[in-house]
Amino acid sequence: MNKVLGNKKYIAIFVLPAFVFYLIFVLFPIGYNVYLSFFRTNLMGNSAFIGITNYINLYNDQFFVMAFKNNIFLMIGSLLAHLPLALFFANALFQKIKGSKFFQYVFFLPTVICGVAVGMMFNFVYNSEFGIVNKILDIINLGNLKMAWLNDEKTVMYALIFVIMWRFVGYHMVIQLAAMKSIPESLYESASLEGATNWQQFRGITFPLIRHILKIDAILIITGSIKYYDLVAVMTKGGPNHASEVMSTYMFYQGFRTMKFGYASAIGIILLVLCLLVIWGVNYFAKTEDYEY
Amino acid sequence: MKRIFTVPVAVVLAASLLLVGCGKQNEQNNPSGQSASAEKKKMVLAAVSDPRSKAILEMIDNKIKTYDPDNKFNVEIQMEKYEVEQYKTKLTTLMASNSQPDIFYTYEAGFMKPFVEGGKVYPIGDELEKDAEWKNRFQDGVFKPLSFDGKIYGIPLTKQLSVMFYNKKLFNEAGIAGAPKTYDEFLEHVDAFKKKNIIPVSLPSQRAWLAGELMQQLANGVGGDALYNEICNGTAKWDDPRFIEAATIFSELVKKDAFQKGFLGMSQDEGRDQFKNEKAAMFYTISSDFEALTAQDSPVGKNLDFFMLPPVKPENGAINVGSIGNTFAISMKAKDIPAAAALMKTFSDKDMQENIAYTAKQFIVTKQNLDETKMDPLAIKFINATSDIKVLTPWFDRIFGAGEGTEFNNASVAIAGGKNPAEQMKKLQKFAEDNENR
Repeated sequence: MNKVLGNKKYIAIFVLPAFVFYLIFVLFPIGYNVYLSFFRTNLMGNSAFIGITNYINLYNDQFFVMAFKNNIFLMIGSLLAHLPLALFFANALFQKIKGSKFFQYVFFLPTVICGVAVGMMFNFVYNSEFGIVNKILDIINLGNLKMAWLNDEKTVMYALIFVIMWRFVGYHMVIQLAAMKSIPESLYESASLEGATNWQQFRGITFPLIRHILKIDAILIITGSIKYYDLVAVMTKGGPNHASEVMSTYMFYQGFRTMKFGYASAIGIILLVLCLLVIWGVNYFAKTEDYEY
Repeated sequence: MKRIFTVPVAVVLAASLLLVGCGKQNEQNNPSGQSASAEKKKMVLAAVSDPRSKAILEMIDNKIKTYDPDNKFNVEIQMEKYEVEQYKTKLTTLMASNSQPDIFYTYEAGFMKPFVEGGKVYPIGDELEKDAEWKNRFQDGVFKPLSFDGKIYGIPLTKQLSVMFYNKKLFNEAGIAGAPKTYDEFLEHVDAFKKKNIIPVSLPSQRAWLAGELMQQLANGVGGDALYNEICNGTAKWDDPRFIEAATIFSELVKKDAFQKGFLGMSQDEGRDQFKNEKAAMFYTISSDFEALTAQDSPVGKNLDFFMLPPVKPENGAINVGSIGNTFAISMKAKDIPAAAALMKTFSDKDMQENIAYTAKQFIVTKQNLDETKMDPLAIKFINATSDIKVLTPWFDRIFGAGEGTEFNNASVAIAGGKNPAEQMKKLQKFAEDNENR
């Protein structure tokens, strides 16, 4: 068997089925999407080649610009919320406190709940009539702060980012905790003997040795924020009046609601290019050295 | 020798990974291996299911069972029901991939137009022309929003219009004699309820269309049917001073606290329940809510009455937002068009339309006379009131479809949320102009 798998010809044959699927379900749709983005079409026979007009129109589209800004807001918000917070929790649990395993499960739990269910649940939490947020405000005599959280243009994005944070902080915590656990114990032992404080150990050992994981984490957060869809679609559908629109929900709206499939394809391509740029950017600017220990 | 076998075995293994799924599919499609020619043809009827259409869907289900008693067509029709928003996405996707359901629920005018232009919808008018008795059943004008290039593409089951329901008991308690005759009187009523700490009007606008409906009705009152006709034929713009005036009046109503707190985040069901449970004095909605409000479990039941919102300018009275409803159309690719048409014909049968009037308590589209003894007295009053309406202006989101129509609703929500009315209407106009080129 080893002999067979050592032969590149056989490897190619075994990889072929997966590649065929990848070709059909990923590469071909991307190519078709690029093609469609140069057309004005509703995919029902009404089609006209318009070159890069869709891309120019996107630049002038108030709602797309708003969606783009919201994605940037989500990205910055997620980076600020997830990385330090997850690092804080991971480091706390890394200290082998009592019940550390239990807290790991608790923090990770929201990640395994499907996004749609989380969205529906928080729709109730934020409900203006019987939602728990407004009820709590009532109880603590802050009834005048009660709001329709998801239906007010001023609060909707903050309400969303809180849910995103709640859902994903445990996920990033587990990734970072796993990285911390791979650091040899001996480094901490010798640091302790030298009299290093916990903060010095974190700054001098933990942080430098998990930096490569933090980089991957940042890529996950940023690309995730750019293509974010499920929670927004379930909770607000981009509303009210596009105030919580993100690029992917706007792509859906233009494609499946207004039937501007060419225009929606152009949004899809912008999303793809942005994701690729981000990955390249993070790799370029956050080069990490490999430590051997 | 070994080497001779290794390559073919690897190829076979790899190919089997690809083919295994297809093989199973074929087995499932034809388990017995029998010829399919003797089997019944299967057609799908796709419909929208919400509390307002529940009774009508049950009637359609019965018609599916009984429309072909002699099995002349040898067709089995299955009904698939979807939630409204889910349905709109599903139908668009199926249309774009040319796999639309055989018979499908649709909205009229702008919503349906791209499907008709794309050649996806069978011109049911051809069947109506062949069957004069069927065509003559319908009231005048019901096919107007379903006609494109002189051909009819859908059959409606009901008529719907915007209406203000009110609670007579709460009106009496607030010392108000009855429905307002003028817009100023309506504003006085709002003030009276505010003083009594009762929600004046329930306007649950989580889904933006209800706020849009009210703003459209206010625009009817400001600009009359002239404004409606001008915006539809492109001679007026969304930032027309008359639209801005209507939008400003709407924002003044919001500032006046005419609606419940948090109404922008309130679902239709919650808003309806508030009115049903006598927490709100009025409920601005659509006529098909009538059945839910008069249901046995409805506390408002016996105290229920209604009025059409008086126009801001008295000369623009008797113009109401409204149109046809529960429309069905046949796909060009339907497996058996005559069978689908035969089923659709039964939707305008005497018993079906009577059921719609008596049980579902909705307005019918046929000319037949109804037995008033079998009807709710309020329903009779309702029908008489609608006969006074001169012009029905269909909802903008149906006339202009998704896009411009939906953005009108969104603009109304933004205005209700405190945005400047003139700016929002200008934004809407810009969107309409930009959207044409996309």
